[in-house]
Parts: sequence; C-alpha cells; structure tokens
Amino acid sequence: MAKMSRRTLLKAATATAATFNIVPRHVLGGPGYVPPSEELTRAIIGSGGMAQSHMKYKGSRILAICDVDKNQLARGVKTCAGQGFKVDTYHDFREMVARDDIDIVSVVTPPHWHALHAIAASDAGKDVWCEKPMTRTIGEGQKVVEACKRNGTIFRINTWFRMYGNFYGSGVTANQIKKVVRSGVLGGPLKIVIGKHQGFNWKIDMWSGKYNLPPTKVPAELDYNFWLGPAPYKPYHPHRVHQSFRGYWDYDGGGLGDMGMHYIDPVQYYLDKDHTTPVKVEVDTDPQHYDAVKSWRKITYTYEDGTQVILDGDNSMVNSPYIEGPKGKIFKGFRSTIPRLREMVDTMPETEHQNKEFHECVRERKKFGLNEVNGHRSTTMLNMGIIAVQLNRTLHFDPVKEEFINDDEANRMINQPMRGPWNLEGGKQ
Amino acid sequence: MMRKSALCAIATAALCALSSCSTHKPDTALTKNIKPWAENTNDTKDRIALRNATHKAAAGIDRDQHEANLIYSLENAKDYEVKRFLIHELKLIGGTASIKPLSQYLRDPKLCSHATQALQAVNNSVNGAGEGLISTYSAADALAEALPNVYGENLIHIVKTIGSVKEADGETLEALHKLTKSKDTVLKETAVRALAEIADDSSANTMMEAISGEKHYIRSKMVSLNLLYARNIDPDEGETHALNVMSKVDRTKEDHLYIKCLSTLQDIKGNDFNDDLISYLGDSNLRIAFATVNLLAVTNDKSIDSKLVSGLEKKSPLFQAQALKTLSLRKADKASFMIGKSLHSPDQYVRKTAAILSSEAEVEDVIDGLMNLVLKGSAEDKTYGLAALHRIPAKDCAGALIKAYRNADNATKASLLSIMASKRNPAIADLALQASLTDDRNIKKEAYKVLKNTSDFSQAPKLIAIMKNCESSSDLKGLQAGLVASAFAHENDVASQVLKNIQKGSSAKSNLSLIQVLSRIGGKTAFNGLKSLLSVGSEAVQKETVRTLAKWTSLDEFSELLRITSKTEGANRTLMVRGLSTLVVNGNTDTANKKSLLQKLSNLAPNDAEKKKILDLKTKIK
Repeated sequence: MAKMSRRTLLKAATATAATFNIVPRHVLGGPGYVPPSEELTRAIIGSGGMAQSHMKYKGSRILAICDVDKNQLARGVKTCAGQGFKVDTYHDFREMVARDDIDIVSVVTPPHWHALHAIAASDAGKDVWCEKPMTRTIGEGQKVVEACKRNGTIFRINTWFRMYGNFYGSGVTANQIKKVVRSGVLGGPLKIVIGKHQGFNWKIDMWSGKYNLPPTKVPAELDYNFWLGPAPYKPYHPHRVHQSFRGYWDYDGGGLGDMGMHYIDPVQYYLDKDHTTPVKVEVDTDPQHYDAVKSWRKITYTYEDGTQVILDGDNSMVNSPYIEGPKGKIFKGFRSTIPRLREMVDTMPETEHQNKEFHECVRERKKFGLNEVNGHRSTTMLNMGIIAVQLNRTLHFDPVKEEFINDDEANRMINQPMRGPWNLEGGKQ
Repeated sequence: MMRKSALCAIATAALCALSSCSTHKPDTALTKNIKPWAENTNDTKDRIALRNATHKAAAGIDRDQHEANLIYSLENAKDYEVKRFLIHELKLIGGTASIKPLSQYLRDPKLCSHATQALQAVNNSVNGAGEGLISTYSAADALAEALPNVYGENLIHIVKTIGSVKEADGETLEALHKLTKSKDTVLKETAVRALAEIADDSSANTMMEAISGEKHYIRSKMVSLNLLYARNIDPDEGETHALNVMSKVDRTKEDHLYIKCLSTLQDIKGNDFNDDLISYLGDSNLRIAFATVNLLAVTNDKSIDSKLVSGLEKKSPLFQAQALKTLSLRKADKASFMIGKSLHSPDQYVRKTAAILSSEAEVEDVIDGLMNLVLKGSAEDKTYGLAALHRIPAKDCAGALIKAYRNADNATKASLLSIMASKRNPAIADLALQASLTDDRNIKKEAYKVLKNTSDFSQAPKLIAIMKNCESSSDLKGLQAGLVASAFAHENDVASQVLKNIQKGSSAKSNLSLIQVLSRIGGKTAFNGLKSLLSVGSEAVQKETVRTLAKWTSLDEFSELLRITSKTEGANRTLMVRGLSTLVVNGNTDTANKKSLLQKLSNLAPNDAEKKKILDLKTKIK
C-alpha cells in the first residue's frame, strides 16, 4: 500500500491550512491511531546501548536504523520490532539520510561522529535529535550551528534537565533554581560545586581508558575503519569501541564527556549564561595519558562576572554547598541556609517559556528548548575542560571569538583535523 | 589563492631546512626512550613524559628546540608506531620547520593520514599567526608535490587536505578537476569539496558538471558543495552560480536543497534578496514557507516589516500566517497589534497561528481576541485560545479571565479555572472560593487547585468559614490546601484564626479537619495550640491532635515532641514514634544530628520491633 508520509503531505499542500483543518485526525486514523499523514518518521544512526532507548522514545515512527556493527544492527532490529516498527537496515548512514520519507534523524553514535552525522542529516533536510555531548570539539559545534542555520534544521540534544525533571542532587528542577538565582536571595557572584557530595557522579573510574592495549584482530561483524571514521587510525582492541570508547581522547572525554552535558547545561541555563561561556578554566590533575582518559581532581571555570563552577573529580569537597553566594547557601536536596526557600520559590516570578516537546517543534518549526545554539555553548564549556585537562594548564578563553587567548596548542584542539575523506572544514555550505 | 612559484619554493625550502637544523642542536633525551609498542609494551611513562614536554614547550619559550628534537627523532626513528607518535606530537606543536619532514610521509601507506592531519594543523596554525606570509615551503607545496604520485586511500587523504589548506597551483587544480570525474564517489566528493574550498574561478563549470547524473546522497552533496563554492567566490559570480544550482533543483522533490539555495543567496546578496524571500512566505510547499520565516527573521532590514504587514491585508491565509510568525520573531513594532487583529481573522489557520503567537504579544492587544476564541470560537479556537491564556501572566489577564468565567458554560468554566491555577491573584482566589461552592464536581476540583496555588492571607477567614460548614472529606481536603497556602508568611496569624474556630468537644469532620491543617500550617502558635488541645479536648479531639502532631514538619519543636510522645501510650505512642522518625529522616539537619535524634527516639519505641525499625533507619542515613 502506498503510504503518504508527512513530508510528502507538506510538499503537496497547496492549501495547507485547509488540508490540516478539513481532514480531522480521527477520520483518517480512527480512535487511538495516528494516521500516517500526520505521523513523524525517524531514522537512527547507531544501534548500541543508548540507541535502545532512542528506539523506545514515543512520538515518531522509526523507519530505518544504521550501524557499522552487524551484531548491534541485529539487536536494534529486535528492539524496534518490540516497539512495533519493522525497520530497514543500513551500513552507511549516508544512504539512510538520503531517504525522502524520514523527518528526524537520531544521532546515537560515539561523540567523534556526532558533528558529521548531525550535519549530514541537516544537509539532507532532516531534523536532528543528537545524543550528548553535542560535539567532541568546539570547532565541530560551530559547524553544527552553521549547518542548522543554513538548512533551517530543528535540533535537540538528548539531555533535558534544563527543561524538566529533578536535577540530580539538587532535589528540584533547574527552573526552580533559576528562579532562586534570579531573585538575588543568594547574592553574587555564585560558586557552584558539582561533585559526589552535591549529588552528582562523574563516573570517572567507569569511563577511564586502558594503557598499552595489544593490537587485536577486528571481529568479522565490525567495520572498524568505518567505526573510526574521522578519528586517527589506531590498532583495534575491543576496549576502544562500544561503550568503553568513552575512555579514549580520540572519541570522547571519559566521565566528563559522558555526564558533562547533563550537569553543566542546566547550570548555564539557570545562571542565564546561554549566550556565553566561562573566560577561564583551571585544572588540578596529574599529567594525562596521551591516549587513555584518566582521572582528574578539579576543574574550575570562572565567568567574566566572577561566577565559578567547580567540578569535583576526586570527591574531596565533602561539606561544600551545591550553590553558594554571599547571602546564602543551597546544599544537596535543596537544603538551604535560607528559611523556607522551597516555599519562597513558588512565589518567585516565572521564567521564560521553553519549548519542551521536540515533535511539536518539528511540526511547527520552532526552536527546541535545548537546541544547537545554547547547546553549543554548554558543550564548549565541557570541551574547554577536556582540553585543559589534557594540556594540564590554565586556559583563558574569549567567548566572542570562541578561541583560547595566546595558546596555539589549545587552539589547535578547537579544530582538530579529521582523517580523510571525512571533513567539516569550509564553514557555510 | 594560487601557490607561490615553484622556483621560489625550492630556494626557500632549502634555506628553511638549513635554518631549522642549524639553530637548534637536537637533544634526544626525551625521545630516545620511546619504543614501538610491539617491542616494549611498557613505555607509557616515557610517552607521557614526552607529551608533557610537548605541552610545556607549546606554552613556553623552548618550543623551537622541542620541535627540532621531535623532527630529528622522527627522521631517525625506524618503527612505524614511534613515527606515528612523533607525528602526532608535531601536529600539536609543529611550525613551518615541520612541513618538510612531515611531507616525507605523504606517500607512506601507513603514515599518510597521520602526516596530512599534522600538516593541516600546522598550516592552520602558521596561517592564523600570520607566519604564512613569510613561510617558505608551505603545506600546499608539500601536498601538490605528492599529489601526482599517490593512489587509493592516500590520494583521498591528500586531496582532502589540499582542500583544507585552501591553496593550489594550476597543475593541482587541473588534477583535481580530473578527479571530479572519478567513478569512485568518495574520491569524487573529496575532489569537489577541495575545489569548493579553494574557490578558484576556473572551477565553475567543473563544479556544475559534478551535479549531473548523480542521485540521492551524492547529488545532494554535490549541490551542497556547489553552494559552498558559490559562497566562497566573488559575490557576483557566486550569485550567478547559486542561481544556476537552484535551476537544477526540483523544488517539490528536493525542497531541502531548494531551501539551502535560498539560504545561500541570502548570505551572498544580503538584504537585496529580502523581497524575493518574502514571496516564498506563501509557498505551497510548507517546508519552504516555514524555512523562509526563519531566514527573514534574522535580517536587519526594517523595511520588510511594512511589506509583511501589507501582505497581511491582501494575501493568502498561508502567507498571512507565515508573515505573522515572521513579524513576531523579528519583534517588529506592529507585530503585537497584527497578532491581536488576526485573532479575529475569518480563516481558522490564521486564528490558530495568531493564538500560538499571542504569548509574544502585548496583552492588551490580544486579550479580547483570545476571550472571543474561548467563548465563541470553534473547538480548535478554544483549545488554542486557552493554551494562549495559560501563558499570559496573572496581573495582565486576571480581570479578563474573571469576566470570561462569568459568561462561560460549565465546561469552559472548569477550563478557565485550570488556567487560573497558575495565576497568583487575590481576585482570582476570591472567584475560586465562590466556585468551590458550586455543585459541579469538575468546577470544584479546579477551584481547589486554584485555591492551593493562589490563596493569600486575606482568604483565610473565608476558607475557615467554608470549612466549618463542610462535611465532605474531599471538599475539606481541597479547602485545607487553600488554607495552607493562605498561611504562607502568616502562619501564626492563620493558626490563631483556626484555633479560635476549633470546638474542643466536637468530633465533626469539619472540626477534625481544622485540627489536621495545623501541622501543615506550622509555627509556634499552631504547635502551642495543639499542645493545649491535648489537655482540654474531648477524646476524639485528643486523638486527632496526636495524629496531627505525629505529622509535624519542623525539627524546631523536636524535644517538646519527644516529651509529648513519652506521655502517650499504645497506638498513639506508635503513631508518634513513626511520625517523628519520618520527620527526622526528612528534616533539615546534618547526618550526625539525625542519628542522634533517632537514637533518642528509639528509647521511646513502644516495643522491640518499632525500636529496630528506628535503629535500621539510623544506620541507613548517610
């Protein structure tokens, strides 16, 4: 049966308003059933652990999945079938994103691929639902922002704590914290500590890499060269791929890369810093291994107004408040030195509306709450920390030019050359 | 940009090589211990030490010396793994002196990709520092020399990097033009991208030819790269090229490419393209129309606003809706007024769009129109009208909501109340009090939500009066929530009013409900009042009082609560002990104090089982 996808419908809508209004949903779809013409469709790049969740997200019908590992692809087919989707499978994402009947592409691959996959999807006219971190380098983030602009792409990053859900150890939503920060009851500048004793887990040991891995035969099911893609060629070892990849600088940034966006993005949001980034990052760490991500003790960011964000990697800040200002403190679980703060929050002015429904944003072409622009800023903050840890020195950053000040080596890490033929250079397309 | 003459390059390369080797005598102390992995799998410390030295050198004055050491070691290294590691170090720190040594590996099947990445990083860095102006032997020279002699993957690496350094001489350009005809689509795409990056005028025809005959992904890529080329060349030529590309695109089947063409032309032509863009707002392809809204939203040309307003009077509903969105995103002077006006449009789609946008408008411009949608519109009008009202601050719309409520049917009344629940305003709270007295369950339910969120001190006496005459458990629960809200920052005053209305001998639901609410109000007055009820109240009142004290929410009165607990017996003792355990666990105090309080509480447990529960809780607290 020939199906009319939503994209086809949009293209064919000569009198669009009339089309949407004359045909009620129930006439086409029946009770409890969304007609194909109004249903959004999605494809997923990457079929590993995290992709299993993406296959279960509601709101769109999955048509296709892609992976360079045959076993993972087979697992994805099963999961999709469990959700009622019979999906086509692809080895090469470029073929999949070229399909005309796909509205949204989920990017659920290791971070060294995020920018390439997101931009390929955007250039193919799809909207993008990208896993965190948005990109592995600051330069890649800039390219994603440009691509979304030139293609009119609706983009979301798959973390949500700035919009809804209790924000880890804080015990309240980021929105409630924003109200408190804006009210001025804490004073300023603020000091924020993100660590175990404030209710956050950096997963440093879980995502550390290993040394001296002996070259190992690549399993038949995996196209390792394609998996590496833009990353420098290194001999295969199972620990370098599938989940544990996070422990290697070529692909991610360890626990910081995994959890950073979850923890840092809401901070950028509630501090009203979405338009900027810190101007300085200091690190306390032993020299890092050149390939494997290892532990670090502290990363301290400072904004131009003196606000500080400290990432506590060695869990030593036992008694530190989560947020501290000259006039008050907030501890884990929203305990505070300010009496009845939780009740006070209800009386504080509401914050600006955020678009929280991604599928609605796709339908109405509205920017999603956490999009490529504010997401790039929080990813930049994350990547500033990753670079400073690798270089083991204090870095100064210009948030307008988006480059480090007087540090050529750090700036070389903003735009890291990709292995051919993969390429993001060239700016606007 | 064209490469310097080959003659000049050779001469200066020789000079550079001489200078780089003669200025800094190599010191291999750090590099000599670096071993191939296959030979020695435990050289991590040495490699980390070298990497650390690279980081330090990059930030310090001994950078040139460190670079010379790395180059010397690279030239003398025998093992592939060691070379790869050293090339990576040069990628981080190398300058012009590294270009020639790195170029030696462009034909190496294993090291070419690493060498090209390093050359690209070096090129970006020296150009960024202005060093390129005096550079002698450039990355472009090295890549051009290697190009005729490489094949397979190495060819792709080199072509890609030529594009990245954005520089090629005539021979190289010619070679790239030939490669765009390749049947190997990866090689073709890489060559076309390189030409787009280099942006030489002579490549225009070759670029256009690359689109022909291709399908799907490759065609899409070729169009994109042509548009990149159009942006990179002279603006007049770029416009012509982009228009040529657009003429090859099927706007129905390839709308995403069409949008990209529009975006490119906007970047090239600037505000001169705005009139063309406005004509796409009413495009029958919604994706194109929607994309045009976003493109126009960011232009700095104020003159388009009047054209959009004019279009609102004359053009199709689709155009009107997109023009409204554009005006709203642009925060145009007339946007708010036009949104309000459009709420009365005869077209449903325009009304819906205006309702969605009304949260961005001035309230006085839209409030009448929204009320009209809610009270007199279609089902869809009502849905979008209510959603819009939900987003408007209370102070701006309380009066209108109340007025609408009085004229609405029961179903709409419930909907309006659900909107009012988010709006803290005394007049709204008064209305909810009245609404809570109706017989309609849905209205009552919503009215209690409003009271919970909006009641203030002035509502307390009225709420108490209603509670005194109420015997429905669910209604009392709703009213309690309102009373608790009204006590915020006035807990002692409200508690005092509640206590005055409690009858010491009455077991009526309303009376017990007033007792219960005291623990949620909190404060000294409530606590002392409850204490006195323990001694003067009837049995039912005393029982309810114990229950209420067991739900006390502040640790400030904990010692007194312990004393009260010690005087209770049987079920009341169990109730108090359990309630106080919860209070401690959730209390606002540190872990050590919580443990201490639980220890004291355990001594009052009515039996061993309760005592064990408390001590278990104590061990679990962290």
